[in-house]
Amino acid sequence: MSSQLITSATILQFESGVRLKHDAVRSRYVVLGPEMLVELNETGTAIMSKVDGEADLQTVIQSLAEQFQVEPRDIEMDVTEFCTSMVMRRVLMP
Amino acid sequence: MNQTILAPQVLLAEVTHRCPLQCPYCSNPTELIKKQTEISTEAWQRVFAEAASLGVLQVSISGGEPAARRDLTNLIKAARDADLYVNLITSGIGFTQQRLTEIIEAGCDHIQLSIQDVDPDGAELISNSSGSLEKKLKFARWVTDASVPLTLNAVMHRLNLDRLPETIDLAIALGARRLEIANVQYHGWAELNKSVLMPTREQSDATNQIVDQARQEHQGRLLIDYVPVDHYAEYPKACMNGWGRVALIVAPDGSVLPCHNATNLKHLNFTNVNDASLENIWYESEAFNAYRGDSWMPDVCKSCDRKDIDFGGCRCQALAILGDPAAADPVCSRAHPQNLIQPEHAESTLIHTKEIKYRSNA
Repeated sequence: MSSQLITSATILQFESGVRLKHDAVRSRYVVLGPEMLVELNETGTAIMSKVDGEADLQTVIQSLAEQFQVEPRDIEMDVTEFCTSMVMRRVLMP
Repeated sequence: MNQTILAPQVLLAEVTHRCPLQCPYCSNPTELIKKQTEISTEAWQRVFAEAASLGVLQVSISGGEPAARRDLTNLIKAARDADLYVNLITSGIGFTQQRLTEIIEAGCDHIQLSIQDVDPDGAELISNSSGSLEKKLKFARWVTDASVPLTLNAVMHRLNLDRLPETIDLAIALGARRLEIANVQYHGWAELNKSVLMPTREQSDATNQIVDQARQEHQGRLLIDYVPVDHYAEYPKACMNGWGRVALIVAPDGSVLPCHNATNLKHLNFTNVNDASLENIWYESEAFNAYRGDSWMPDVCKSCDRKDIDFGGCRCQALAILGDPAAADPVCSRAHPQNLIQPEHAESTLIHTKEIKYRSNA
């Protein structure tokens, strides 16, 4: 597991064949991919909603910080870790 | 155990039992459903829509070989129109590149391709079809060229397990995103061919190590799902992730089943999609409620802390080996310390491939 898989300048996008979906029956968001279902909590949903193939990690963190009214440095590590795990699972592509 | 019935997440749509290959471990039941009794395109459209509103998120369109249905493109489109994630489970045989393009345009999200062996002769022996490997490799390249995620599904057994490293290399070379290393599950056709297909314990142990290494080596690149040899396990598998808990299967004739082989359980009646709604079948039918929760379990399972992990294991295996579908899974070393499963012939070195009983045509 390498932490340098992504940096603050990495532009994040969904892998081909992977998408975010609102699961109306269970009132939650999920990521759907090849025989894969990732349940997202509120934080995960907020992060994944900002992945658009244009914003880099730094921008995603900045935008989340504004949304939740916290300092970017307070969430930087958690968001980076989450995104790295999504890259490892081939949900996101760096 | 919580007795609340959860909404299903996965639909396995077995659209046909017809198949150009005759693998002796086919997961279809030994009594195959004929073309004449397959349900219509319109019936499948209704099934996909009902499944989605019931809570299903993913559909796996499977067979037999789904491409044997001329309306496959329309089936895929219907599933996608219902906002389901569409996995196509195929042998890759019977496709032209044009037809593949059509199903991708219709909304196929992911393709899972089975391979019988990385050795062409081994592949021919198992599929009973000449040149099958070459056709599959060509198909795999079309899929990755189209940027559609590819899973390679390698069914493993005694005759090909020694080529597992080459199988992993092939998945990498083809640019597959996922590799399923699935040991044969010994039900139905595979049960008939156990003496030829059951790996030795040495093979099984070596496999565990090779898989661990490959997972580390290809982390972040190739996702590996591994189904070990059930008969050498200490505890039962979580068959279907629990009966009527996560997934439902619709057979080619429209019967709704809790598992592929449920039709072996002759005491149960399976309702058809033409006779009731999926919702009614999932929540109310006797068949889906038969082995839900823990009220059906023998005491040894009911009091066991693993019942929320394996949900009591496999009912078909209990029936096949113990003659009672409600018995504790025969694999379980807690329920059956006397080790009920002695893999037949597994330790003998002679392989009589002439004994292979190929799957018949649907």
